[in-house]
Amino acid sequence: MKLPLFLGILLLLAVITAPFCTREHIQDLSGVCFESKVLPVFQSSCTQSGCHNSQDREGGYDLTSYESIVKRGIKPGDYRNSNLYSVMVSVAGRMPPAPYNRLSDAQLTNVAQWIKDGALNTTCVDTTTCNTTDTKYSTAVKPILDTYCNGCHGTASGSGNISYATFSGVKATVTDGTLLKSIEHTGGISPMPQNGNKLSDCNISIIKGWIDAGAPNN
Amino acid sequence: MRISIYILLLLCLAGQAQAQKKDPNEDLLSLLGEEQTTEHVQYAFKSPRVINSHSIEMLHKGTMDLRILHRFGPISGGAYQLFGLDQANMRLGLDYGINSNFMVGVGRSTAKKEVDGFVKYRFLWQSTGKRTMPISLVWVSGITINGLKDVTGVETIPTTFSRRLGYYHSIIIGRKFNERITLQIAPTLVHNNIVANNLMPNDVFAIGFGGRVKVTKRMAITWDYSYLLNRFPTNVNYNPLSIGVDIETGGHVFQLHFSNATGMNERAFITDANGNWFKGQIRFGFNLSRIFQIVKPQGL
Repeated sequence: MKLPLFLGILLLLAVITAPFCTREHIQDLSGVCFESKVLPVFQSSCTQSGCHNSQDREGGYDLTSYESIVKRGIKPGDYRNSNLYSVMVSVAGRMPPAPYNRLSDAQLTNVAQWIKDGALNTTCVDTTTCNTTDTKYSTAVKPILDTYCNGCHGTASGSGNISYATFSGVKATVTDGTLLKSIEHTGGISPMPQNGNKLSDCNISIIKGWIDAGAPNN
Repeated sequence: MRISIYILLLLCLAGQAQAQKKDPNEDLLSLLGEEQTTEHVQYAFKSPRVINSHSIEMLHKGTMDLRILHRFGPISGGAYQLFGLDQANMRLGLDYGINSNFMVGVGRSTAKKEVDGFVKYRFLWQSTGKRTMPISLVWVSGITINGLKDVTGVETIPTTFSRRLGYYHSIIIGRKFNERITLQIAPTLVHNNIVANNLMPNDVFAIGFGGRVKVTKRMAITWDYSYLLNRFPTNVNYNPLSIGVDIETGGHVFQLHFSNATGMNERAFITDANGNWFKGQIRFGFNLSRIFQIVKPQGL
């Protein structure tokens, strides 16, 4: 008698809840812009010296431009079977390798959705107007650094002894002027981001505005 | 997916029905003077939960288990946050054993103001003697109801009843190997009616690995891990892992543990965001379980 009771209750619950079983999502991410959301991920996190740039081509991968990225390891429409995506989430042999950080969930999401969309060379007109009123470190500056710089400089032993792992590391490059010089390409110092396009005028003016305000940790 | 679950369920049903048919004969045989009896294995775990996950243990008939669960903030908060103790999530739960193989339970968590309910049935009970059964097999099905006023956070997607719901189904196969060691494995399916974005699967599959090693009569070391098969983005660091001790003090069971999960029902600790053990995003937590005898056992 016990088993039928359990099954009866289970079936009753199943019947009651069946109409309420749906599969929805809140946000549809399709239409990720390659130029602004995906290319910087590859350029910032994969193309440092000795890695997947046009000179070194580590393992035969050159991840500096659209044409070279889609050449190998991308299966348009199927990110789970795309080698470039799966190494980013694998446990053993993860890319970028330690001590570099694992890509953030937001970066991985952009890469996956871009492959799912067909791995197209989409460019986008930036419809958002440049908002330079917000020059707070946490909400405006840090996201730019995360996207364009921290692939190489985000760890304690960052490339070129520049580490943006902590705020004090960022502040040091503000104080000696190297941050601004490198992103404005004003000479005397390696232009940054390496292997990537110059930061947009909007992003540069946000960083400038923050520096002009005394580069506070806000 | 749902259909296949029901089919699976029906298959289990059929198998069990056949197994039960034999029982009357066996009972008769035992009346005829066969002295060997079936001895069921008791106390595979100290509680019907390993830590977060359901265990192969069941409540006795007519007993109620009042469960008070706390999960504190991340210990990385340091001394200022008293290593997380300043923040607490809790779940208040009541489980009831309808008979020795069937229990039900409800609970409510502070996170998402979520109410959850479950039914749990033991199909196979590990036993020795006349009827030898090497394992216990338990089925759990549960439903969760998000109680927030706005569950989507988006104006264009209004909160409806079905968008509050999640489900979980789990088959737990376990064995008490000896007085000290019990291990179990639990394939689990969690369904969320609505997820954050189109890349996240509504149906998440996980395999739970739980166990305990009894150190003394009243104390055991327990662990509880779920390996997620199709989480997005894939990150093994977020798989819920809890390690703790069970301490039994007459009528109470304290389960003290460290975990990277905050959730206290299957839907929450498997599919909601968890911390990363390697980055110290772990929390202290405890389960307090108090057993009440509601219906007096027969024959006493």
